[in-house]
Amino acid sequence: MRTFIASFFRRNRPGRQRPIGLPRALHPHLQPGLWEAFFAALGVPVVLSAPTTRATLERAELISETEHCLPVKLLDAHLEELAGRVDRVFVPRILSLHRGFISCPKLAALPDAVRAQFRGRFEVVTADVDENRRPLEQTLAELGRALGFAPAESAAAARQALAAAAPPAAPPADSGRRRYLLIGHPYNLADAYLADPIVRKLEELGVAVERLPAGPPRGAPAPLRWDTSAHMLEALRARDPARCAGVIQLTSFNCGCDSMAGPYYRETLKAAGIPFMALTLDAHAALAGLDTRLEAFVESIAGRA
Amino acid sequence: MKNSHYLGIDVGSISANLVLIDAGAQVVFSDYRRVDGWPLRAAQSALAALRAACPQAILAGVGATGSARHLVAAALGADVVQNEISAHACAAIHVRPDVQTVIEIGGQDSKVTIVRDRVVVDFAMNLLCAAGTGSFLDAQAQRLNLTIEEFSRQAVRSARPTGIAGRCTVFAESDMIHKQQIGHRQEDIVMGLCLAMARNFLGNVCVGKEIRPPIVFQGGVSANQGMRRAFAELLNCELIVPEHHMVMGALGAALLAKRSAPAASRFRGFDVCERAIDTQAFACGDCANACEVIEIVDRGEIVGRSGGRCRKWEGRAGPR
Repeated sequence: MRTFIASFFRRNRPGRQRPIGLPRALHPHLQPGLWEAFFAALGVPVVLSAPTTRATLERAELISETEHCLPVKLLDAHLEELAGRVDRVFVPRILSLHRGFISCPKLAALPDAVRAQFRGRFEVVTADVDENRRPLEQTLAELGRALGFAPAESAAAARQALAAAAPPAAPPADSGRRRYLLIGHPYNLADAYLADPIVRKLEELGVAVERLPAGPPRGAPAPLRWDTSAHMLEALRARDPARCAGVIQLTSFNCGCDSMAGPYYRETLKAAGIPFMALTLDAHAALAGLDTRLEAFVESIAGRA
Repeated sequence: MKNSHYLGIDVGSISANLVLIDAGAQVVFSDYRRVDGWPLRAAQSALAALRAACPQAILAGVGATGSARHLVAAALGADVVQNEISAHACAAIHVRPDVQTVIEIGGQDSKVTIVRDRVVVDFAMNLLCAAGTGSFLDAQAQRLNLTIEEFSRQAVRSARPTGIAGRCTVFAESDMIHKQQIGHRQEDIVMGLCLAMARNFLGNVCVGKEIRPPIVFQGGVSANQGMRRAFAELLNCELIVPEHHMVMGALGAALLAKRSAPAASRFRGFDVCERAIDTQAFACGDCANACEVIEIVDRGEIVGRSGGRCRKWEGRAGPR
């Protein structure tokens, strides 16, 4: 397939720089800045979907499979918005983001699912992101060649993209007054529509809060092999109860990774004596009962101190 | 102040509850009524009932709780607006200072609250699903053509409760019908439903929580003898159902109002129960979300607002 696409683009060299759509949902949040930088280095204009709004969420509910988790539903809505604006979108097949770890298995099927959902509406450009098999630089360079760029151009763009992409942020350090930590998969935490009301509510309640930035799991091998879950667990293990007032996990309804990893988070924080609460996101009730839960959580922590 | 009383009002999805306590924290009046889709009217008529019963009462403080707490607080004028988890826990601790666990099951919510040394240390609420709540029991009782009181009486009589899948309302319902068609006795089915619901609650809401006695059981569903029996059997201990189990949220709100001891209450007077307080919605045009914001209007004046993801409208009164 890859050879076919490559030969197709080589034959259509002038078209290789036509715009490509990138959703502001799911995969770009896992590798912030990477894909924009890569396409920019190749001179391919990137068209981003608009940030999530209430309308996006409503649209997601209408067009997406009922059984999908909210992040995948949102991806569908963001791609649909791009459908009228570009004739190709980029959806990688993410198998592993970090060496030694694996990614949520749903991410491995995304290009296929997207092709099936949007047949005839745009072309799906894809690449296997599989750090266990080959480094990202090679993946990017191959993608460049598949898109019709010369090997040298592609390799240069790969290097530029890696240099430009946000360096993996270190887990937030415990500092200053006691803070609340908000954890969750990066695509949930980075979506302002989903996560900001929680942060705002906590600030309204007079507490300091920080979001766990996306990043690679580091240090000792974690008991969890899912990359984002392991990253969260590591951050929790590094928490100091004297500095961390409580942890709130933002989880999507139906998330398999979270349901498997949840007990690890709970046990880790219980052992450290740090209060923990999980909030579930869902397209219908994205915020139902949120105030009540956050108020009661903060109050119970204040009552204990 | 002589004759000073504190009012607590808890307006949830199914019921509006009101409690009046005196300066010694004794309950002098309580009212429980259905909301039937009109939270504000239910609150107003509860207030009218209070005025008729205790015309002498001087309200030194008002506390509001329940999912309609902001609406009710704006319309009636409240000194304390508290979430229902804290309000319920406050009442349970007041009634049983040694309480370790509070199980509260209402119309659409079910919660467990873990208390140690009179402080809430953990809690959990049901998610997105009313299968383990009062509305589920209501629906099943209706299906069996029983009033909820008959349902409760039948459950206690059961000698061999029927095993019923209670994970989901839809499954429970089809399983129940199946058991009925193959000849299970009605009282056994009824008790089986209670056990399924209690198991569902313990397996979902209480997962990872340390359920220790003394356990206080409150909320509308605590009136159901079958549910009391189900929890007692599954937890292997007797549950404490307090005297005012139906209105504990309102009691908690009243106690919190008393504790806050406002210098002058913001209560807007008993007349509010007669006024046609109305609400209107408008779509905020300040960003792409176009959130629906609710305005509470009393005599042409906007007394409060709520709604909107950015929260800027919360509680804002006066013109836009």
